[in-house]
Amino acid sequence: MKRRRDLLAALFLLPLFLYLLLFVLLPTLDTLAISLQHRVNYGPRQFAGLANYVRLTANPMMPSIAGFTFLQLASAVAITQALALSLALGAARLGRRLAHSPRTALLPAIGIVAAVFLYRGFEPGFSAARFQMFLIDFPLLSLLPFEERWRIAGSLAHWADTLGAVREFAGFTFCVYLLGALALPRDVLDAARVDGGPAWRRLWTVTLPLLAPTVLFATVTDLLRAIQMLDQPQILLSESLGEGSSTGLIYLIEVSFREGLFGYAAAIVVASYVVVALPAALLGNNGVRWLRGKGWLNPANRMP
Amino acid sequence: MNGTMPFGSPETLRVVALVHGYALVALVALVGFLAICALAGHAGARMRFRWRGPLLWSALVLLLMPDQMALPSLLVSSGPGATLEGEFAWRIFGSHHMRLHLTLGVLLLQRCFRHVPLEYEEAALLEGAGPWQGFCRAALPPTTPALALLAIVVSRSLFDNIPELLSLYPGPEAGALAGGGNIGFSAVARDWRIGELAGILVGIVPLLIVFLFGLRRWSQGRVSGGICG
Repeated sequence: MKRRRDLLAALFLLPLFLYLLLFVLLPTLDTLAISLQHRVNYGPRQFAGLANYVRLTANPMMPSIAGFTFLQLASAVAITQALALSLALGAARLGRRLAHSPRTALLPAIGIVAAVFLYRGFEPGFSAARFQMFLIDFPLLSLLPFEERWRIAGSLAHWADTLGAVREFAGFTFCVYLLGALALPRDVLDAARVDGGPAWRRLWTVTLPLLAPTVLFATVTDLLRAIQMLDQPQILLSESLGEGSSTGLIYLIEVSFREGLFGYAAAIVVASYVVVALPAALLGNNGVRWLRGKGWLNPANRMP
Repeated sequence: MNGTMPFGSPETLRVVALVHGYALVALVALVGFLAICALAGHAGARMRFRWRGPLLWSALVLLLMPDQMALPSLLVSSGPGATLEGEFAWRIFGSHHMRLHLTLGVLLLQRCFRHVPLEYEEAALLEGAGPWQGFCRAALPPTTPALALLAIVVSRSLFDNIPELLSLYPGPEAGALAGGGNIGFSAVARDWRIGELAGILVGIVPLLIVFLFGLRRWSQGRVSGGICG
């Protein structure tokens, strides 16, 4: 009976693990192997040991690229979370005021969801690139010479890219927060309101702790998406800000495509993953424990 | 392709052909995606088996693995002779968009299956249905709103994936297609070339209709499987 149950579960999980094996695990192991090889332009593989990693530590551009990537990630994710969370809480509150049924409570929010989703989903261009074009064509700047206008647009490239990322992520993140906000227990929110206190305190002590798992999910997914943004920064940053001011992924693509150094590119990938994942794994459990200690993952402890 | 390229030129037709091929592969990817989510979500919600915790955790870790980890392997394995259509097929299934939505899908459906009354499946089993029939006929139908919700999210993501896939292709024409397609659209919009702009906008009408019809399912999907806690 037990064996039959295990076999049935294995059959249900088989497609997922087959997918993970083919599209995640095998390519990742292959990348690890390539990072230990000397490989130029689809040539033969030669074992190089840790030479690619040694070269990586000696690269003077790496600190500036890492710093720029961090700045890019932090600004895009922080603005997205703040914007999406405030919009979602506002939409959920409006929905609760207008109707009591959860389904009809969603109706006012659907318009916002549709607007945000449609704006991103059916807009095929890079709006940030157009933002730069708009700056170049801006009437007030038209008195300046073209080179000067191009320089001003270039200096704002980082923020144009950040705003583009926020606009790209905000739709999905807003939906995630909206689902979380609408599923919050209404009696707890009502009890906090009856007990009084300023709105920001209710937000900090009741709403946000209840939403903590949703915040965690949205932040992790946005971080993963931000670290993988390629097309928009490639157009905006590489040309505008020069060497050293590109994200890690753009540098990776340049090393792979332009120089054909696949072994070195693989070493960059593996090293950056270890740098990000190791502290996250070490801090993960301790962070959750700290949050629990503060009562953030158990909001009943914080109720007045 | 640039802003002055007339619509209907060989270059623009090449883009249309690529998008058509992409749509066919995307359809297969979408169906496979929903099947994987439903099966894994059901196993996670209803089944008790050995190594359950470690298996589900390892799946989550692999699903959240950044796309970059597979990129050098992909670039090396695709080689200089790879076709753009072949790249498309590979990239759709392995893209980080798919993996992120797969994570969301498995978690959402796992939660959704937990809300489906267990009596449905038990009644089906008592009436002689096997585990597979019980899953297909009793457990799966109540989760269709959540599946529709996922289908909408994934379709939109697949639509957004096109420029990124093109910019990753190692062939000479891909960069021009990715950048040119978007800059061309910008130029069309900026120069008020109404005819071409209308043509592009008409192209998205079918997607718009699907999206609007799916909104009702969206709200039902939220009710049956909200993400919280």
